[in-house]
Amino acid sequence: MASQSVMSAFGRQAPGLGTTNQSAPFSFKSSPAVGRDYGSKPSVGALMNPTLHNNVPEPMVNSTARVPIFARPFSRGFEKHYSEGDVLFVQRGDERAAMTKHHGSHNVVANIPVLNYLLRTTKVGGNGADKEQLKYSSIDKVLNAFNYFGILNNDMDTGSKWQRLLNVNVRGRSRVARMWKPKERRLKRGDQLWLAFVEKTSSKIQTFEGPNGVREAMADGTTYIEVVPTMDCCDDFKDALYLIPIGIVSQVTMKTPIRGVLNAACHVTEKCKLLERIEVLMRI
Amino acid sequence: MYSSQKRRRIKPFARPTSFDINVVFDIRHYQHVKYGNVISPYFPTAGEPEAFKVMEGEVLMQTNKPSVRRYGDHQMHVFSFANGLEATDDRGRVTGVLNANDGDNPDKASVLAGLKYAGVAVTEFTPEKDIFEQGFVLTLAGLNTIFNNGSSIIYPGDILCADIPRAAGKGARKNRALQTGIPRDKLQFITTPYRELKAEVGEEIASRFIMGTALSYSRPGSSVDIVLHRCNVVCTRKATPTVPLVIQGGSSSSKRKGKKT
Repeated sequence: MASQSVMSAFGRQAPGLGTTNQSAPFSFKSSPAVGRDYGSKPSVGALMNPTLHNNVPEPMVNSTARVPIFARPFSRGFEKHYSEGDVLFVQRGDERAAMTKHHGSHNVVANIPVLNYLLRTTKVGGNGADKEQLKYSSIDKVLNAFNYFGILNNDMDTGSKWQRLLNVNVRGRSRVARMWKPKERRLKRGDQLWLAFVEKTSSKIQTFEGPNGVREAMADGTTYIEVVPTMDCCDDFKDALYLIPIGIVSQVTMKTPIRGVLNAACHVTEKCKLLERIEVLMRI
Repeated sequence: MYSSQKRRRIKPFARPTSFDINVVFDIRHYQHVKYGNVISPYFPTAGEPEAFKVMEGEVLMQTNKPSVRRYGDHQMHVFSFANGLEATDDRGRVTGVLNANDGDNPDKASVLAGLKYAGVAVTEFTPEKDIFEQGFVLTLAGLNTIFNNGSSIIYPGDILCADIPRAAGKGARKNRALQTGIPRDKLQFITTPYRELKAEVGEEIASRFIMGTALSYSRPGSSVDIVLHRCNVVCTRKATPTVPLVIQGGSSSSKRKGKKT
């Protein structure tokens, strides 16, 4: 009797396994087969529900808040290679991001290699004299164009090959690619991780690998802005035009990555995917 | 007489939205201080072993010195006693010229330079009894209630920093609130409002020790509710607003080249 009254006090009918997000309406089912009339697809409204939920009476420790976001496809399919642990940015000022009655919001979502590619290659365009100049030539222009969003957790709609509905960690515990390396010592718990926007100039005709691994040339003396992972002991931290705190390290892998691999991971999505994953506490 | 309510740290918020990690005790720093290897300490060492124990709700620090960070692991090594701390220069080398009893306002920035704020202890740890490898729990963020063992009145909304205890000259009172149950020899790390620490040691060092934001009024010796947050940075922008901006709670921050004070 006593246990029943305790359970009823918490509004629970039977003791469960302690798992959360498994009972309706909090679960996200695997994507069903799409019928001819698209009637069996989950509505966008249902998928846009936040997933932060605590179904236990204890205080939630090291919780995670996630939000879904529709990724607009790139013509070269960059977004198809995003994987768990990618740091994601969202482009601002895109009217297609607004949700309407007929279609859901679609955002230009970029991980670090894609963002660096956009910053390095997007030209002003048009017919002006500066049409060949880089569009994102100053930090203000970059910040007006892109917002830091979160860390990719998983794909919520695996049934579609046209679009990606990404489930993104925005606060709390998250797995992220180990792109950070202190200047002298090992990465350890409690370290704070940052992303820095730094200004760089190509010293000669340089070639850069794009997100897909295809090399492209850059003219000599071109000044561009790049996003690099950094820590407060690193040179990039002191030289940064802008810093974004990513989180505090809570779990680290044993193997220290090589500096060259880390540099390549800032440019090529596949290299970033090969990095080990560490655990961080975001926006705390 | 004291009431039981005063002795206990009542936590009106049972640590909701907390972010915790496992840490280990900084046993090398403990041995360094306990066995008299500190030549010219800023604070005196403690005689009784209980002073080195980590208690629930205590502010924890880690050393920033290269000599004691060679554990070769990825753990965070922390401690909760200020006894035996030494003054260090910018590169973490012990200068050994400062002492807290030398005057009313010795340069505490050189002591803080050798420290790094870690968090608040959730569970206790006794170095001579408990298992080192097992460690204990530290909370980095979330609502919490801690003891105001500093000498400042804390107002709701104050940004709180971890700090070393105030210096006590010869014959002067210790100028800090003693927590019941803690040995009198033990010098705990204290909580100080950011504006006061900034006035003493400057913005750059003070901003490294930001713990969180106070939620309640608290006099020295009473408890204070606090929302802990770790993603903090203080930056000064050249353009308006001219006042230093404190951006907290995971917000992005700007830092212009060469403008940081």
